[in-house]
Amino acid sequence: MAILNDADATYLREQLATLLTKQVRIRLFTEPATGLYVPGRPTCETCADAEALMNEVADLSDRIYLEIVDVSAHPDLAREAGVALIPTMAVDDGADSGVRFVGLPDGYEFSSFVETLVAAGSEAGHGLSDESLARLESLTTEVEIKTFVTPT
Amino acid sequence: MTAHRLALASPHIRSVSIEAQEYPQVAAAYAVSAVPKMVVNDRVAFLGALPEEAFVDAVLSAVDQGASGDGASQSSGDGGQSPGSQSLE
Repeated sequence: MAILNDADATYLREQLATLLTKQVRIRLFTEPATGLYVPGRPTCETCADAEALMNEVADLSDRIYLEIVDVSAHPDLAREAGVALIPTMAVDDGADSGVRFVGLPDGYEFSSFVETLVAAGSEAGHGLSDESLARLESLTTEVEIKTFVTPT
Repeated sequence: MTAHRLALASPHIRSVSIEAQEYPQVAAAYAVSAVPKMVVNDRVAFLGALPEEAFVDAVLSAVDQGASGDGASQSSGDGGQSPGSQSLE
């Protein structure tokens, strides 16, 4: 059963066809559902939904491509990408931009997710003002911003 | 999301958004009681959906505070509900 309803999918497909001008990569760090219950090992409750949703998103545009990284099979790739929790989605244009979504981007967060795809893959890009860009250029240290969000 | 835009714009910035309800233990570790809550370099926090200029102010200010701090955890603007933030209770 699809997660996105038909009307939403159609609307998004049209929007993305207009707005995306370059390739956007979604790397989904996840764990496949094995159907086995292993006592003491935490299961990723939203990984299956995240995979299904990301597959639907990738289907919305030829410019979106999805790479699924199984963190149990490739812990090195997860470590390199700084991924500790799953599901995590990394969004960029092919080169890591440091953008991560941790947890299923549900409800309101889904529109944030789509906006970020567009920001990564459009001419308008990040949309920051020249002033903001100039101020950010003064940064010499590495900055990590964690943003806690909720679907409602 | 502004934080993600900053990460796309700057090679020095990384941005991670975290679903607080899906990871309640992580949210608790960062004392998240209202969203959105931004935490910069695990040291300085600010609340609420700020407009771009104020957001950049907050991030740069957090970096300044972190760089000159003694390494202990600090929280700014975290005491009460900010306009533009939503309680999780």
